[in-house]
Amino acid sequence: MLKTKTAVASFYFWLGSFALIVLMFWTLAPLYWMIVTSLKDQSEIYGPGVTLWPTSPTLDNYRILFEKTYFATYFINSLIVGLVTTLFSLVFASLGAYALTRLDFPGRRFYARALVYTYLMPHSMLFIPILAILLSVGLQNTLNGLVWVYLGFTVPFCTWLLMGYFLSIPVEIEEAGLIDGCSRLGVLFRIILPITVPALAVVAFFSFTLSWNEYIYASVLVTSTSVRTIPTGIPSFIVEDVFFWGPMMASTLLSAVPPLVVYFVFQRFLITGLTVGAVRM
Amino acid sequence: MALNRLTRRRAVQLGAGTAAIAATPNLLLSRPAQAQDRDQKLIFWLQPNFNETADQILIDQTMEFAKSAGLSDDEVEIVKVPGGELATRMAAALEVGAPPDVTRVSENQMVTWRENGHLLDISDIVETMRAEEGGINEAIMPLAEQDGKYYGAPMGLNPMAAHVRMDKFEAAGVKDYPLTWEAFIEAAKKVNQPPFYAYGMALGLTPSDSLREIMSVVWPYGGKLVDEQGRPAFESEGSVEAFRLINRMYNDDKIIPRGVLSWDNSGNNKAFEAGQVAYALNPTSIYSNLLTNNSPFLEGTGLFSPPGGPAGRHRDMYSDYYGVFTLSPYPDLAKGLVSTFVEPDNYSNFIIEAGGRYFPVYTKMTEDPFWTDKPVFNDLLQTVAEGHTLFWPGKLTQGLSEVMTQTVVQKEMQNVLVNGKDPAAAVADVQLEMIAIFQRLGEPT
Repeated sequence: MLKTKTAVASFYFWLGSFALIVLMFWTLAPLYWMIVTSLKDQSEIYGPGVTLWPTSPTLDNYRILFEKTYFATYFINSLIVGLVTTLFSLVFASLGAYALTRLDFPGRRFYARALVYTYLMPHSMLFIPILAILLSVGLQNTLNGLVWVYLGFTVPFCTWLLMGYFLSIPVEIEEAGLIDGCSRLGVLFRIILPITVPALAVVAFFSFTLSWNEYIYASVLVTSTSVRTIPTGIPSFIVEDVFFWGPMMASTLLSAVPPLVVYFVFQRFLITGLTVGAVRM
Repeated sequence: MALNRLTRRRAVQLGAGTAAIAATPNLLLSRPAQAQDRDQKLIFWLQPNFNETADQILIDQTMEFAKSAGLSDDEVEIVKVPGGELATRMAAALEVGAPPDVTRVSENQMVTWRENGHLLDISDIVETMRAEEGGINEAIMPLAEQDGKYYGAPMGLNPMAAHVRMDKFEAAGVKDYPLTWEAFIEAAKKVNQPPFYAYGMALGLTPSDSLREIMSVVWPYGGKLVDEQGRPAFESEGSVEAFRLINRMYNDDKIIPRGVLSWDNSGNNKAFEAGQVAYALNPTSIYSNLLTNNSPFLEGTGLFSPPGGPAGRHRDMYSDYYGVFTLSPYPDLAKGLVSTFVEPDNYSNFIIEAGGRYFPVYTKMTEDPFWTDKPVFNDLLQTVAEGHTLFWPGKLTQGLSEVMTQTVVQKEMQNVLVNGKDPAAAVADVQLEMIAIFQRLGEPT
């Protein structure tokens, strides 16, 4: 009997290990291919044989990226848009979620539901009306415009996310602060936010990755090279039906770095935030 | 949970604070683009031309024109728009009434934008081009014409070139390029050694290359898309015979890789450039890329028009055009920019620096040693001289444009190849579908 149990456990262990190895391969193989392609020259990429490692590794694609394209500008623009969107998403979503969970005012329930409904609107339906709005207020072709548009997507979702977390915090903690003389905003910033760091990390990560990776709005709302972001810069490596794989893979690889950094920095909080309070309502 | 009542004073305080925070992104982000004031700009959407030098020439010509027209650098804007982004961007720009002043216009865009009144009549520019010694290639002009007016100035000819690995054919004992499809199949069988295939025939459901591939077989057997009056004319013995032949190459002789049914427009490029196929039909972008990358296959590659059949060899070519938008606030400046691009000296400079990617629309320029001294271009020069468009003997209309975008012909071809549909039934169904589309759009059937 014991032997059978051990055999079953062993079977599941190896089955799980096999599944994990397959999934790891599934996830890492494209990344590996991206890295090695970025280190090959164009003739090897289009060469007669497939090479798993560059025969003569070169950083030429990275040189092309920084010397012959506007990648650095796109990178800086993406960074600015990502960071500012994240910052303001945190501020607006925190204030909004706090108000919707703790304050009593007419239409509170309506606003709470409306947040979810606005998030359900397909983004691809909105880019033309939003372009018209941005044109009329003079924000087309500006990073400001992009940030405002992204905030329109991030704030409702982040507010909804934070509401769930705020609801899990006992109101007595706040009341104690208020009795001790703390203002309403003081309660929010001194008491509530410090204990909602995991949820804030999720909000930050979500906002940053959305604004970092977003393509369709960025491609329509900004046209000038000086304000383009990375997702709209990468397609420039496809000219007609010809693909410049080397620089494209190099740019894709570099553009994956900031979200990875953000993820690793907030990893501890992210896991808590995603699995504990942030999903409660 | 107890909720605290929000007082009016508190609401005002919070509101003021929120408004202050909301206003700060504009202060923080002080990176406006140059193109803030649309009214003061001449905007050229530059679609990259595969060749950086050629792109730079267009940029330089734009800036020189702007200078000569009295515009400062800040009053002209060149926006590089990758081809893949153009449709989305232009749809949005036209919808909000802010298209560029000038851009490159493809065949399909020419029909759609012209029919919707987005393009300006630039007949005067076309007439100036025609007045040059030798004139311009007239085969590609009907597409830009409507009611005697021209809405596009031709930018460069794209002869459809069969890129052929002659080294592989010669190694298999085939010394000369096969001039008929029957001869091609026999030769291809000798070359075919999977995973190396003889014929990288793009047959995916994409609007462009796959239709040209199919028509390259249909024409030599006497088929065509439309007749002289522009009525659907696909149903013919020639089309049926061509469908049979393609089926034979794919299913019986297996000289076409199985995966071609899912290829997009870049599929044949990639296969040829990676040395996986011996024949690929495409504009010369494949050849240019081999040249740019010092490909080991360059030496053994020849450029030809596709093989022929009982109805001869059909030489297919097309052109893009420079177009000016009716919403341009500066139509004269925009037309001046197009005139600068097509001014013979400027144009010659651009075409030659593009390194063979485009053939000149000015007939006389094809006599330049740049073209005549390179044997690889010989057959294509004949295509340029004698070729027709995909829509010959008619011209591209909205109905045909929809037939292309709905991949009507390709879908039926796939039905034959995958589902074993009878070629005659497939051809008949293409015809019926074309008639339905033409009738819906009020075009002659």
